[in-house]
Amino acid sequence: MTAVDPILKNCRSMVLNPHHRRAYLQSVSARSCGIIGYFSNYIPAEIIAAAGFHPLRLIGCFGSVSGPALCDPMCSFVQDFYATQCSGLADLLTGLVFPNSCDSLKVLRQVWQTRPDGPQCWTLDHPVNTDGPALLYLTSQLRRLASELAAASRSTVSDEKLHAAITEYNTIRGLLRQCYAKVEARRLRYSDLLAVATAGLMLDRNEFTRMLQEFAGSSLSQPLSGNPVMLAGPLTDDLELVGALENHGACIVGDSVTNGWRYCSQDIATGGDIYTKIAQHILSQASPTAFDLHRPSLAARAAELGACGIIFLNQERCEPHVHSYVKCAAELEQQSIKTLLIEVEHGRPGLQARDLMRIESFMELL
Amino acid sequence: MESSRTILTKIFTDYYLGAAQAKKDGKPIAYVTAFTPVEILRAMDITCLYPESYAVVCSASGKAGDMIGSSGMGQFAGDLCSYSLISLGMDHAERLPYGGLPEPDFMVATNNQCGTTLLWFRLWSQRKNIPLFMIDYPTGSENTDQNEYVYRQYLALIEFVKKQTGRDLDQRVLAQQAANSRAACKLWSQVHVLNQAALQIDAAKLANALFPIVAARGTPAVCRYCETLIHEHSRENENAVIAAQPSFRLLWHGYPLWFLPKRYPSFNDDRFQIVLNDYTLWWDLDYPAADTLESLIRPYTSTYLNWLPQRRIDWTEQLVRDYAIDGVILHANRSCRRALAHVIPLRDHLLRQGIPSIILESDMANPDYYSPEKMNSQLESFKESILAA
Repeated sequence: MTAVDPILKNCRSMVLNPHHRRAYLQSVSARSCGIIGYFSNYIPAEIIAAAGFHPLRLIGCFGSVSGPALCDPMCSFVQDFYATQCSGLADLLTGLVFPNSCDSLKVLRQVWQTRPDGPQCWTLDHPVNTDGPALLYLTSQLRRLASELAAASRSTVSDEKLHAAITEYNTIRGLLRQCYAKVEARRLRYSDLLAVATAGLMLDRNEFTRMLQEFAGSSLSQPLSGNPVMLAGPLTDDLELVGALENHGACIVGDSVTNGWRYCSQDIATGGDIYTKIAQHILSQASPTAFDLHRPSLAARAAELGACGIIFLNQERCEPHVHSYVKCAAELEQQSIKTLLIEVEHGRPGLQARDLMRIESFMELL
Repeated sequence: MESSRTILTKIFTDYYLGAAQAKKDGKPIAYVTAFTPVEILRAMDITCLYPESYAVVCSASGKAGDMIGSSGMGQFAGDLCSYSLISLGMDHAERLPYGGLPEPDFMVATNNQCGTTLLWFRLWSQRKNIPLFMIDYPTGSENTDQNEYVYRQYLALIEFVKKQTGRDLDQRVLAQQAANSRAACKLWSQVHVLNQAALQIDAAKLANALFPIVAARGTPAVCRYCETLIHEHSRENENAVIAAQPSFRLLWHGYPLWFLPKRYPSFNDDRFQIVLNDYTLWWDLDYPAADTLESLIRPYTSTYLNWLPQRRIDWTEQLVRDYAIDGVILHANRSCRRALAHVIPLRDHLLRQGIPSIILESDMANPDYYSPEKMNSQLESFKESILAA
């Protein structure tokens, strides 16, 4: 047993076990103004934290078995979340912040707002463009969100508080980048990093920073073997699937997923108007509304990492990622980069035999 | 006086032949989404073409299957919008109605109807390697900053078009276009009002009458067309063709089924008839009187699919009252995620109000998702529930 094993065990449990997460969040709830759930990394958790709330990225296994469904073809993540909320499994939330991104999330928000019993909802309009008007508008929307959250927590979001939150979150991003360097050097197992990075989006960030410092300091004595591959996709929280990829001969050397590299690759700059800096940070990220989901190009990133193939893990019926995949796959094919697409049904337990066969075939191909 | 049919044919012909001629003459062509502020583009002398409208034509011509198969979206086609698939298939399919649409010089996409349009136009513009401009309309009316934001984007659009074509905005034409659009939308609303007291215009005819307000809004011909329709179907007109009156007046909620000859399924019982499809009223856009660039903010921000669900539910309830509706058929169109948001809450709301309603799952343009047997059986049960009520 190594020093980081308890950390890994805790993080995996946070991601995979809704009961563990619930118990943890109950304790967090008692020592904060409440818990605010948010749906995307394009919503700055820093503002939620500065308002005194615990920011909870809605990710991981929700534990839904069945429940009221939204009309098809909403994406499986949104269906899973809706079913869970409707079965009262996530009633710990004080509020929810929705992004104005894909139509499935818009529908979720809109349906949610017609329910009298749900937590309070806020929306952050994420512009579809990244130009001057978009920057101005997003900056104004961030200010509005900060002011609404401050009103909800009966506090203020001062520049000092926000700056402190940004510094804390940048520290986390920096530590995650250190871990990514080790993954690239095959000195850290990717599935372990993904478990830690994903859990970090739900844990108390002070606690997580300490945990991450210890984790970032650990290293495998021997480099990992296997075919170097890269992952791409939206949120990727199916740790079982990622583990299966590794067990079938993949050495994952990096990713372009929202809760992975795309979350930590850049810090939020400080200095000047703080809201403008956050807006610039958000607009510099690839997003479902801006469509360019894998920036810089996947081929360039794969080359940088020395990956010989890219595995897309898309959520089923995720419309932006389908369009992105169609575009990327055509480009990658032209550059003779091998790809595999696995569509993940969020919340579906266990791996499909068909997927395992496809993973095996892909590894043989590499 | 010209008949409405003659005017409609002329608008249709002008649109398709005009586009072909524009291409021949080297005049810039833009592909636009259904709720693009075309008044701005027309004031810069751009020929605007609507791929969604063309997808309707293709679906009605029985070409949807071939074109969806040629879309290049393969295994994902089942989860995507059929208008987008038909359009993407246009580049590879053969024997297209009217020979297809001429290639555009640039595209303009908006998200005031859905997010799909952005994804689809983005992918399409990348495949064609032509420039795209996207206009972002915030959803709902919660944000006080939104007007300023949309206005700034209009200015950016003008700059974009100028850069692409070298053409300037003609303020006079813009004012004229906005005034025409405003007048046309009012008249379009009045066409529907014909059916408030009694069924005076057949629902299929109204669905087919949609093309001018979608694709030629801003031109004087649309006002003439609407006025003529009103005259032809008005009770004051002694030559008016008035339909047989149903015992039960139905509202079809959402997209028609464009691939059906009559656009809606048959009820096999004359006592039941659709007197209103609220979808055709989505083009009753709310233009303020100013006829300036600013006046184009409200109509395009406040589109039906950009409303929050509660407003959509309230609006439908009002229509049920205004049109003395006995039952509501909600078309859960699998192509349109945004339109699906309120379908279940609306059905539940209507049932609480004692208004019989039913959800029918299908697709606006892809007949693969239409099962006549299933739909007939659902409609039989629905009719029974109305009779029982």
